[in-house]
Amino acid sequence: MQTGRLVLLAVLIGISPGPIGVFANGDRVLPPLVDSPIGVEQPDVAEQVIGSGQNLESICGEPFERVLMTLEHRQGWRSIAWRKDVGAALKDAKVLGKPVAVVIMLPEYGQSSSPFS
Amino acid sequence: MIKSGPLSDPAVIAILNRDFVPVLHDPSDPKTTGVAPALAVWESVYASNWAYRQGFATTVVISSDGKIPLATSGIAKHHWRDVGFSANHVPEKCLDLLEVSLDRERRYREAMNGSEGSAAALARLHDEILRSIKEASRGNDGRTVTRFL
Repeated sequence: MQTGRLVLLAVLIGISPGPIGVFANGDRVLPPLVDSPIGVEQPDVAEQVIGSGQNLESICGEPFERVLMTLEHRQGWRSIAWRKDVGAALKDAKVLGKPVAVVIMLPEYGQSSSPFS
Repeated sequence: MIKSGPLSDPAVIAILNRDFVPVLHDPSDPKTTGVAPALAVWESVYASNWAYRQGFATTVVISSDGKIPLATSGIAKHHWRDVGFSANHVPEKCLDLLEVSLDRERRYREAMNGSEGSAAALARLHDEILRSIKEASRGNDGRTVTRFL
């Protein structure tokens, strides 16, 4: 019985894809990023990788969607002086003589529908 | 990603608050659509395809009188190639878009003041903006946008 368990364990080890940090196809993931998942703990690094146009999945070893979802937690956009709606923005724009930056977005898209919520 | 990327970048936030009037616009809300002629293209694009009801995001800078679009980021996609390169996702490219918009607003106002050669300047500006919108709008989404231009 003991021998049977050992054999089973050996078989399981034999078919495992390898230690964390190595994909099944043999590509190595950069070690520092694997130790600290970038999407979860280093959103700045994740953003740099995204900005550089590199393949995020192969570099950080995390599902792409998960990294994007993590970045969604950023809240800086709430400090922008959003106007209530396009009509209100145009009134201000005429007075101030400034162009209107319209971010078109469905309420379901992203984190929440409104900075006023 | 637009909110968590460029719109959460300190430099983008600063220029938006200083030089622009920012607004979040819901194209599915009939109470707030149809207000600015400059947004007609994108409101039509949204209404033209049921698939956009699952997700639709883009940035359009319009003139202070609401009559013409000045620049656009193109419709946002979650493909990593778009995420890595477009103004919807990269703060530096978003800043470029905003700077270009400021320059076009200045030229638009100058041309609208009716000085000599203003008609030709306005025509050149319209042509430049049209080309930039087509350039920013790629793939299937781009073809839809071009149909309404």
